[in-house]
Amino acid sequence: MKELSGLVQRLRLLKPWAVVALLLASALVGYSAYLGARYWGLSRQVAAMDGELSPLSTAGRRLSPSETALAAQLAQQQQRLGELSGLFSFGKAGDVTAVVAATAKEAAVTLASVALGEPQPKVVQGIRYQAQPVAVGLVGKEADVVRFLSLFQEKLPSASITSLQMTSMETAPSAQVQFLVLLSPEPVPEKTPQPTPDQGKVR
Amino acid sequence: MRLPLRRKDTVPSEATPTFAASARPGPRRLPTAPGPRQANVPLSRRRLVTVSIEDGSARIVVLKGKQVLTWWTADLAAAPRPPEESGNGHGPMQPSRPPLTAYAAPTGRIVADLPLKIPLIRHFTLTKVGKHYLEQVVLSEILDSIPFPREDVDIFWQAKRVGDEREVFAVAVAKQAMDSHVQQLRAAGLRPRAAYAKAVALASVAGVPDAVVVSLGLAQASIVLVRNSVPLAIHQMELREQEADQAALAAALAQDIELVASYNQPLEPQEGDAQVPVVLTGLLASRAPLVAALPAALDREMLPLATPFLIPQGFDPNEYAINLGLALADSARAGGQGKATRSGVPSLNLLPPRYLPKPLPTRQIAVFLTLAIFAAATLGLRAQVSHMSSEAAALAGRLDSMERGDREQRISLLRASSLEAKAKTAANTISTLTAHLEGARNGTESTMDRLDTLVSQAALPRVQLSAIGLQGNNFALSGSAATYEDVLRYADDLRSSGAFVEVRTTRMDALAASGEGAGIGAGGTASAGAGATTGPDGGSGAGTAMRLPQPTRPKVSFQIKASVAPPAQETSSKPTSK
Repeated sequence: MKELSGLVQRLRLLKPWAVVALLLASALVGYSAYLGARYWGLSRQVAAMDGELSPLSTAGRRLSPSETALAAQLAQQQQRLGELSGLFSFGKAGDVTAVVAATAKEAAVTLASVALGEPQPKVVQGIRYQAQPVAVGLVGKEADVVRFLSLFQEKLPSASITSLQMTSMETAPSAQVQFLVLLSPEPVPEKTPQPTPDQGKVR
Repeated sequence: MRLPLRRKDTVPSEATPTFAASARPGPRRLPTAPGPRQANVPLSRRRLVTVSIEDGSARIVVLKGKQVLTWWTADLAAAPRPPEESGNGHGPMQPSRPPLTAYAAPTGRIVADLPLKIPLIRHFTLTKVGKHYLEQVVLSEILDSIPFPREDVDIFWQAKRVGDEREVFAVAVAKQAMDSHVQQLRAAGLRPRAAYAKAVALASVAGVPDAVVVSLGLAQASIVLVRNSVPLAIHQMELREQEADQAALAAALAQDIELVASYNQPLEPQEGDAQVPVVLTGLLASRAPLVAALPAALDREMLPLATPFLIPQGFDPNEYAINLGLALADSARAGGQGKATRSGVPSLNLLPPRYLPKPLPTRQIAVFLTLAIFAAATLGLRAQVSHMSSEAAALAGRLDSMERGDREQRISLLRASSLEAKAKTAANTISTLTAHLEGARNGTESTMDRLDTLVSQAALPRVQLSAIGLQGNNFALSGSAATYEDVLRYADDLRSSGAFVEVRTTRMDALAASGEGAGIGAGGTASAGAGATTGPDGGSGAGTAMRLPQPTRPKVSFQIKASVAPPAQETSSKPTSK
């Protein structure tokens, strides 16, 4: 307190121009200090941003696959998949008995019976199907039966013969054919590994 | 006028100086060479114009260092006389004098004297006075001894420390008298930069610390007692020039000199007290009759004027002794109020500050110039900061943009990765489905091919097939043949067709209708009686061979198993509950 009063006393002895100069000098020193601190802070900020920009510039140069090309490729594949999936159905007829009847007529065999089994899910190489058993009884020569099989295979490419019985081949040949038609294929989703914390992290 | 002196006794004045009298030149004596007494006095190298007004004349001497350049005497009321130049051949006695205004603008520092009785001089000693209180004490001491209020006088003083004491030499000048004197000079075109008391000028030119300096003018004589280079007492006496008796004049002058010299002396002279010498100056100091008569009347040593200046031809130093004293006083002037002079002579510039040109405020200029430079540097720093700020903003924008781009690129990569995964899954699915279709088609075709092989190899009428069964990878055939050899040949033909991996005859039976013995089971097994065959489906094939046509009656029934390569492994799941 005593020093402060002494300082005030000394300041009172100063001439007006000296007081003005002192105030100006104080203001300039304060402003310069502020500018210096701001310059220092900005320098550090710029250096930090330079450091952040460098890896981003490197990352920006990474080649990224064309999303459009991939989408087009995927669309093409999905179209192909759709077409293929169409082969795993009964087609426009929508009913297997109609297909069987039409094929029998075309193959000039007598359709003795058609029986559909209960569809069962079946997974083959990662694809789940609805496996439809179809039992067909035919009366006709062996060659006609073979033609029936060929035509039926053409109409239902996903059908496979699980069993075949041809009897009375000398007198009144007949055949009992068991088909398994694979329908509605669906890929079985694989178990994806848990993403690491870094994966999928969007900045 | 009353002078405050050291024991407060005064020397009365007899007349105030006027400018009424005209200068009349008298005989001049030869120039005085610089004496040894003032050989080492430092003199300014600046051009100095000294002006002394006395007896109605203004004596002007222009000096530069020790060199007297120009001098002239101006009669303030008479016609002008051209100046006398150093070494220009002008004689010292010219018929007319120039007025002061004829050479009113001499270049250099103009120094003027003050008439003897305008300044009130006081010399006193102070004991144990602090520096901070010195000015108040001095002013109080002076104001107590002058008949003027403070606001009517300009007070100048200087102090010299002698041991524990301070010897103060103070001069008070009435403002009115000072203003009148300065106005007179300014009217003549002279703007003095300094003014010294005439007593100080005479003390300075005396050249000895103790002397009685006598300046003999045309109308009056000025007598100054100088002790320790300080003018202690002054006295003026009228010179009656009309008195022809130079001896009487000398006696009167000697009497006044003795009167002044006895000032401040003890009543009884002590041993060792030296007689103060007399130094004669002034215009009349060159007059032979008075100078010759004075020693006879004055029992004191008389010293010639000794100056440090280089005296040119025709210059009378006695006449211009006050000018020379002014030059010496100005060279020894104090640095400021209250400070002692470099020489022993107290030299105070009595010109008030109001007549001095305002000095250039160099300190203020330096301070504010420094502040301006500092401000300029600050502005430069501000520009740098602004530039750095804009750079930081640009970098921040770029960083933000790059971060956004990076984020978008990562998202795009994720999308692309997802698309790639989907495409891969689709491709796998396509591949699998295609493989399945291909497998189904191949399976059907191979089945049909094998059927065709089975049927075509059974050539009528040797081998007759009655039933064909396909279960899994195995074909089960049943039929009849003419002979065992036909059956075995048929089996061999099937093997050799390459359509089957394994062909095995599981049963051969001799037919009962043919009566050719019992059947023989292939592979080491044989069953007796009519061969009832068992088909792959478990159904009974009995009687089938019986219904065969009889172009050649078959005699052997058989059963053959033909195996093909196992199909690809399949995984099946249990049916879902419906």
